[in-house]
Amino acid sequence: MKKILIIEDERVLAKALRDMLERSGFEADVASDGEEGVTKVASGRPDLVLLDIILPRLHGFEVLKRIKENPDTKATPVIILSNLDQDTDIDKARQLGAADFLTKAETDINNVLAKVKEHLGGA
Amino acid sequence: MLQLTGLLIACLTGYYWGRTRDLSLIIKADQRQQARLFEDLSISYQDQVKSEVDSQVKRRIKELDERRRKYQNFVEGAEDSFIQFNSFGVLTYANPATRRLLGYPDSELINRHYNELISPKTTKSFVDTFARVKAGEPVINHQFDLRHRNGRIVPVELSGTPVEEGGSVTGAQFIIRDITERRAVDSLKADFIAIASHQLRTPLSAIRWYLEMVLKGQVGDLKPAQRDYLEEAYQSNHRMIALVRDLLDVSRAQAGRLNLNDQPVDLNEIIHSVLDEVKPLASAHNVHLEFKPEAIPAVKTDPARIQQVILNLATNAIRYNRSRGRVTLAARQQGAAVLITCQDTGFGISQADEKKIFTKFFRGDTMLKRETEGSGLGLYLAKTIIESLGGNIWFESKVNRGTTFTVKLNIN
Repeated sequence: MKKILIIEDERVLAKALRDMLERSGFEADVASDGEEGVTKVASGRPDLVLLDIILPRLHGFEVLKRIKENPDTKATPVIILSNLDQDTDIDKARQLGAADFLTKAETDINNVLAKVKEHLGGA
Repeated sequence: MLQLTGLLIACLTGYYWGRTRDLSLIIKADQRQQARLFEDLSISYQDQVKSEVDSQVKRRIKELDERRRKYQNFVEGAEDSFIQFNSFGVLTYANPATRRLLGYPDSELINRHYNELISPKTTKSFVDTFARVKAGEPVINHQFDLRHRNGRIVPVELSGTPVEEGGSVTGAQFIIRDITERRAVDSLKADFIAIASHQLRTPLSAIRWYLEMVLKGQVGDLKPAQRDYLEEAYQSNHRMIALVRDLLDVSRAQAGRLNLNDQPVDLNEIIHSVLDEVKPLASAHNVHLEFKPEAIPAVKTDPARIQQVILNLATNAIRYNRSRGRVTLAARQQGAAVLITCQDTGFGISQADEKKIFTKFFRGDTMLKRETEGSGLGLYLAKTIIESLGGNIWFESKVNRGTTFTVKLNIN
């Protein structure tokens, strides 16, 4: 069973994502701030990360940078899931190695699921 | 006796008239003539004339001095900067406010070329403005960034007029206002809207996702009435999401933060993808979509923003159309530009609404009667975006016949 880590501080959004992923046959875990996210990526070794940008304790871009700097986790696909959608944010995320960028309010949750499957290589 | 009095009056009048005439002749004459006219007069009369001339000259000098002081106070005491350049763009005059604005003492400011005072980022557009003023065309409220002596960027707004001497333009003069504070307020406002919108988007995303999962039957079956009500809630939430998106765009546009790209774009491809997106809306409104692509060159522009504008025009054209109406999209080359048109068979725009159609929060009477959707920001945004991309947008309309919107974009 593929493991997905959701790094999201909004409980209500994290719950929707977790429920949807579990119903679709994934193992899902939630980290509710940036620091916890970095720790859980290193210890839990998820197959894919859903990452918010505005996070307490450690900014999402910093989390992304640390995931990509760690040789053990740098191959893990990270999908940014944020409500910031300026071109500058998207460019920054891509430069830091994000696999994809989705704007929460502008995306169906089933589209998040489709993207997760796509980046896991159809698993 | 009467005759004698008459003679006396005639003599006196003649004397005064003569004197006045002498004086005015002397004052008007050039120096050599003055000397000659002066010699013709008797010695005592010469003294009299001299003092008359002196006092008239003094009064004139005083008048000129007062006038000079008035203008000097006006210019030198102004909070705005007043500067003059010669036709080569070399600074020939700057008032004290300019010294404060740019941090240079007067001696270091005069004789500088404008290139040294303008931030390289805006030099190119100032070259255009300078050329326009030199060609005799005044400019109003153009914005540039100046460079303070200490390297700090000073955002300014300026108006310029040609300096004219003897019927020809010898330079350009500008009144410059520091808009640092206004920029800061704009930026705060944009930040505020961005933060507020971001905060709004979190609950809107949650509502969207949970309703979607319920409506897709992912947590069990729904009775038809439950589905109907939840559909309505889902649609309302979508409207709110669109409104927040438009508000964010407006605040970005006003703060100059649209971050426009500049890359070769295939407009036919963009129109195809807009048509795919509006197909469900068109069939819901029973409106037929038409598009016959022509061969057109790629246009250097921002693909996402141009798609946003065409989508907005197409959505309006469908929403405000009649049942069994038609929406025709087209893109064709015209010289160095491409024209994109979006034609509908709707109710048209009344003359009263014509001037207001591109303003913020405007919704036409005919539209309000038919539709409650739409933020009233779409066309305002479309105009802002197209103008930021260096293009134009306009429309032609016939009430009860339909409206055609045209977007003109330069190919390069």
